[in-house]
Amino acid sequence: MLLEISIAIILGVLAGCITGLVPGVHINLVSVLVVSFSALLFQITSPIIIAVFIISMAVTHTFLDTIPSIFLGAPEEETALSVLPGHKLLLKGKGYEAIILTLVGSLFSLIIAVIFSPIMAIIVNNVYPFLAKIMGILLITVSTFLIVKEKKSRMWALIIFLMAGVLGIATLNMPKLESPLFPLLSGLFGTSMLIISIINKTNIPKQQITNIKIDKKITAKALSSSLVAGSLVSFLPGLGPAQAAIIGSQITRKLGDRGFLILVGGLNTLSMILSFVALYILDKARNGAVVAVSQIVDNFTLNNLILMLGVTLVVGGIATLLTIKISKVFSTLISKVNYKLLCISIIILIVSLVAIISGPIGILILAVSTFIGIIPAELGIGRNHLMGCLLLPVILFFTL
Amino acid sequence: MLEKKLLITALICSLAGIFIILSISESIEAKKYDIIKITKENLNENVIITGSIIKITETDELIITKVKDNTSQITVVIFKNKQKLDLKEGQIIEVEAKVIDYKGQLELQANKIKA
Repeated sequence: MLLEISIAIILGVLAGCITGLVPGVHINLVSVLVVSFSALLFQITSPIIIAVFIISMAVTHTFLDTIPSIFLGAPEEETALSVLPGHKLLLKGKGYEAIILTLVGSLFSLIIAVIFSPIMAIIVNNVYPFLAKIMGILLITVSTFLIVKEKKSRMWALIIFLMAGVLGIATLNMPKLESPLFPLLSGLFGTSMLIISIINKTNIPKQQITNIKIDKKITAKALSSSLVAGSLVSFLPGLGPAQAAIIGSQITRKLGDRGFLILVGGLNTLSMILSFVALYILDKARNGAVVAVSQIVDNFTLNNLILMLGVTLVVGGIATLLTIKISKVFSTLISKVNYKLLCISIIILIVSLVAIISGPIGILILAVSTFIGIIPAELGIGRNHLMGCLLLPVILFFTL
Repeated sequence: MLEKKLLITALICSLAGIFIILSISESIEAKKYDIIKITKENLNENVIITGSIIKITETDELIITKVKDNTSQITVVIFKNKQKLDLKEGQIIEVEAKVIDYKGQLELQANKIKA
């Protein structure tokens, strides 16, 4: 059994490296493939070992996926908001620092999730009905506040929020569209930014591997926000890490770009781990990897959960080392490549993946979301209003 | 340096995780049983039995087998969508399965079968 667990962890970490570093390849895709092949896999090993593989892949993915998000400008839903402050640091030659900040969030949130998961599970389970009632009002308040806070033009902030929101509603309700969030968020936060970089002839400066210092107070604020917001989205339907980042950044103010990166890194990992706790407590699966585990393991027991938490600790340790090593390689290489050519290559990759995964409708959504994503940059307005693409559908979900 | 602190924390995490895995894996690992020793106390537990197939019945979704060892016999239920097997009467198999109660009778719901 121990040998099987070890092999499953190693294979899971390798799979997580691929899904985390290659834009467009998501753990949900691999998890679905594993479920499809489960009949064959059951002849080799037991369901719990397959579950160990999936969670190892999922946790590794949450550590590594900020690397392409920040260095290549190719985010997923979970890392979309990290692109904004991450790219700012990249342009200052501090891309490595941006990754390490998200790593601080990931590792410490993992530890917090393992320790506090039973308590958070009990609290959220008891306040769930009340939270569901006020969530719509809370999100409307947060969204209104963000728009009112916009210094340059509140009118344009509202227009962008509503345009992105309407696009989000249309996309998420599109019939027979596979992975709707992929073209939506890639366009709003990925390809739009890459096109702007090409037009502005952005050059990535030489990246520095410096001695990074973090403010302990800001780190504590970011991690506590991550715990609260991450717990909410792990147990409530309709919310993901991106929305949690918005909520979390409003729970504790004045995080700054560095604190926000810790928050985003933490949310990504924490919500993945707490999703497994939600599977045990509520018997509800909140993301693709957990859905796969619930289909493979008939009866998810307390012993299974404890094993999963042990596995996440081991994988967190391995993924920390991998993230540090791989981000150093990226830092060295990124300023040596022709950034314009790299941007064009990434755009072609994203378009190809959208075409394969989401089809022609996905291409249309990608094009529209790209154009919308360019507007705030050209107007000098905060790109956070583009999160209306997810906020507006969720507000309607909770209020209607 | 921050990276050094992260690596030390990661190492402690990994060691704690290994300790948890070592502690819990024994209780998760299925134990080998003689069929006669499987009782209602083993309900919902994962067990391993070795025996020969004495009867096979197929439905649309299930393969229902009777497996016999030196001590007794028991019904083993296999979901076709979870296992793709070519089983024959007289074949000796090792089954890892969950102990279930079906209409008052103890049966095994197969997780893994080795021919």
